[in-house]
Formats: sequence, structure tokens, C-alpha cells
Amino acid sequence: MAADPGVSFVTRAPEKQPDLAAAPHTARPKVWIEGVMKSYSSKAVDNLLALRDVNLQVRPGEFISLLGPSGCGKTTLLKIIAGLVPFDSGRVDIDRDPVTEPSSKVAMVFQNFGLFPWRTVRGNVEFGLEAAGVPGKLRRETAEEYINLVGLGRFSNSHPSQLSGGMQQRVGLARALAVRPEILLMDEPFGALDAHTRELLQFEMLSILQKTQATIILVTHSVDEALVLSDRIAVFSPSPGHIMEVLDVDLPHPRDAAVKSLPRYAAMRQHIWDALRPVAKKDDAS
Amino acid sequence: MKRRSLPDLVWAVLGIVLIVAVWQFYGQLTNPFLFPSFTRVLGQLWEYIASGILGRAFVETMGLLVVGLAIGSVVGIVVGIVIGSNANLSATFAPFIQVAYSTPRIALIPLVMLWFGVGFNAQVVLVFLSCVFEVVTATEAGVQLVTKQYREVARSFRLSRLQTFIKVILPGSVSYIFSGIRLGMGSAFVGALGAQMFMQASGLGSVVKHAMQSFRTDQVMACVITLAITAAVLTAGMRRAEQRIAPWRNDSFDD
Repeated sequence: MAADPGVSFVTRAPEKQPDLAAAPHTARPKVWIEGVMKSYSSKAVDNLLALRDVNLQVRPGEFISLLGPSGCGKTTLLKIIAGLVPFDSGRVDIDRDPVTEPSSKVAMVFQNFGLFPWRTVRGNVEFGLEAAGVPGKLRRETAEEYINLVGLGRFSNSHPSQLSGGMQQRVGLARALAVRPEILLMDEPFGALDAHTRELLQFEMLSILQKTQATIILVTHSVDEALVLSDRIAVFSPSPGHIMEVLDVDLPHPRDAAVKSLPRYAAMRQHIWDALRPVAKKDDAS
Repeated sequence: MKRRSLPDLVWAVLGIVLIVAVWQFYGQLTNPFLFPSFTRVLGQLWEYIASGILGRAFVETMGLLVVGLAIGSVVGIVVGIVIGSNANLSATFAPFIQVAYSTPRIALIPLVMLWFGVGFNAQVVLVFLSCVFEVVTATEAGVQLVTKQYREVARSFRLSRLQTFIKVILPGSVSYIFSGIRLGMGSAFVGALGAQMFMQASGLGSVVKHAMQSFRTDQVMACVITLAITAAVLTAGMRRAEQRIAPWRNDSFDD
């Protein structure tokens, strides 16, 4: 709505399907979010509106980013989808089932990794499988499979404290993938990493995730991260959190660092910045 | 790291040598009944060891310490987990525990004597009271911290409350619990000595008391050296154990 209508390549979500051969979109959304309202009460403020009338339909198999400045409610929405945070009104369905608690179809990657320092890499990756009651031998094999997938085969018996931040987040990813989720939620997974590691891991994660069928929802405040990784981007405005627009990212796959030099990339980047700039100003003023 | 460890040790030895030298020098100048020289204290220490007095007293004190600390640890861990798992309970008992934690518990000796007598069991009660709040406080803090850190991780992987407790909160809190026991051990040592001095005389406390009553400063100092070395060794041992149990935690709970 706040977006510049003069930019023609941008389409809003419901009208146009992106022509990605890899993901034939069926009519039924994987996650259906409609009219979601959420307010918080804290010591400082009563009934602070965090999300206002949020609507979003996440397609099966797509990679969608929730992009916006801090405090725009994007993480709150992610946690609502995860079943970790209750909401006031509206509906959130996964495959037509209303979300009331964490779903077995969902796994989450955390900003600060959320690894258990007392467990080895393998022990961490086995964690979700233990909770699901997967028997020992199968659990171990599955864990090894995903540890190898994220390229940490040599470190199965290491403890997280012996690994770099980037490696720790790969453990976090393996732990989430090991439960074979249909939906993978990632809450600023690169937020705790330095710039160089972040960039390397983004592309590596992209190639890892191409081997899974999961629908992926990523929370980020980085425009570049959203552009490089996603099929679609939901752009949030803050206070109260609201989705301004949903963009199709029609950049070619597979993507590597070269994608950033495409004119298309620059144009989309500019468009998103233009959409976020008034928001950022408002944010500064308040 | 490796390069600095040797010089650090050399400096520490130099420090001890310096202090002992000053001590020896001053001790030879002044009245030996008020301030015995280092060699004189060392001689007394040897006499204690040779006569077996020190050995017997040491065993008695350690026995009291271990029994009191064991009970204090078990009770402290259980109470700490219960309080740490429930915000209302924590808010209810936090002020009491904080006050109890800060109070020098040897002040409870008269009450303990009145209620429990002066024997071994009464002394165990005092040692228990000396250390239990340290364990409660550290355990509670650990449980709360670990719960906060991993609540969402555990919930997102659909762990039950019991699974969360067994797989996350308990293993995550172990290092905090150990810190609490180490702190408690220091207070328990004070409590044990106080009990043996002021309740029924026994162990190292009785040796100190006897030395004091016969104005033998050399004996008192020999006892003090024994206590200092014992406390240092016990604390260092606990730190080692903590580091083995939680090598990823190089921060310490107390300092």
C-alpha cells in the first residue's frame, strides 16, 4: 500500500504466481494467516498493539521472508506460527488445522542458536528426535545424516563451545531439519554472526535447503538477506506491526553472490528501501 | 597462556617467601608469646602432626563437614529446584532466603544449642544451616536462567514438562548447583569450626580453643595454617570438579 506504484515488476501476493519451475504451487496454502491481532501488556505500556490485521498465505515449498525494522512484530508472527505465542484474534492454520500449540510439522532455528552446551553436536541434533520418541539407533543414524548434510561430519563428538558461531548455527539447522519438518521457521538465524560468516552461511544454507522439501519462513531485518534467499518477501511496517506488501522475488535460481550484481536485484532492493524509508523515519521520530 | 603460567607461579612463590621472611624477622624481634616466629609455628605444627592430635581432629572436623554439607546439598538442591521452577514460590521466599544467606549463621549457635543440644547431631544442624542457603540460591538461579534460555527451544521441539526437566533444566543447572555447593562448603567449614569451638568441644575447633585458653599463640597459628590449607585445597578441588562437569562455563557464579 505504501509501496511505489510506479515500479511495475512488483506484484502483490494473490494476483500472480512466480514462475518457479521447482515449486508448482497448489491452491491450498501451507500456512494461512488471516486477520491476526496481537497485543502485549508490559509494565511500561498497557495493551501495546504488536500486530494489526496481519494476512498472509504461505505456499507449500516456498521460501518466504518476513522483513522489517526491529519492533515490527515479525518475530512475534513467527512465534505465533510456531505455536509459542498466543494471539488475540484472527486465525492461523497449518494445513487447515488451527495452531494452538507447537506443531509436529514445524521446526525452528533460533537467533542465538539455542544449542545445549552439555551435549555434543550429535546430542544436540538428536534432541528433537528424542522428544519425538525415535529409538536410539535410528536416532543416531538420522542425526549423522543431517550433521553430514550441514558439513559437520568431523565434529559429531565436539561440543558447541568448540565450534565457531557459523558452525554452531549449522548445528542448529541440522537439529531442526533432523525432525523432518514440513515447515522450517528461522528467527534471524544469521543475526548473531559476523558479516563475513553471515554471507558465507547464507549461500550455504540456501544450497542445503534446496535438498529439503520444507516450506521456509525466515525473519530478518536485512533487505539483502531477504532478496538473496527468498521466493517472496513480506515487508512489515512497525507500531503496530502490519504487512505493507508482499513481493515476488523473481531472481534466477540457483543463486550465488553474483545475483547481487543483477540490475533486477538493484531495482528490487531500491524498491524495498523506498518502502521502508518512511517507516524508518517514523520510527526515529517516535 | 602457557607462557605466563610459569612466571605467575614464580611470583606467587616469591610473595609467600617475602611474607614468611617478614613474619620470621618480626617474630624474632618481638615477644614470642604475642607473635611467634614462623619457625616456631612450624615446629608446633610438626609437634601436632607427630603426636597425632592434628590427624584425629582433622578427621573429626571433616566428618562433621561432610555430613552437614551432604544434607545441606540434598535439601538445598531440592528446595532450589522447587522454588526456581515456580515464580510465585520464588517471590514468596526470596526475601527470607536472601536474609538468611547474608546472616552469619554461627550467630544461630545459642538457638541450635537450646533446641538440639551440643552433640554431634546438633553440630550437624548448625553446619546444615550454614550451607543450605548457598545451595538453594545457586540452584534456584541456575534453574531460572536455564529455563529462560531454553524454554522456547524445548517447547518448539514439543518436550513435555517432565522431558524438559530431565533433558534440559537438570543438566543445564548442574554447574550452577556445583557452584552453590562450593560456596556452601566455605560456610559449612566456618559452621563446623564454630560448632566444635562453642558447642561440644571436638575436632580442630577444640584444638584451637584449647590453644587459645592456654595462651599458646604458636599453637593457634599452627591451627590457622592447617585450616587455611584445608580450605584452599577443598575449594580448589571443587573448582576442578566444576570445570570438569561444565567445561564450557568459564564464568563463575560468585566472582
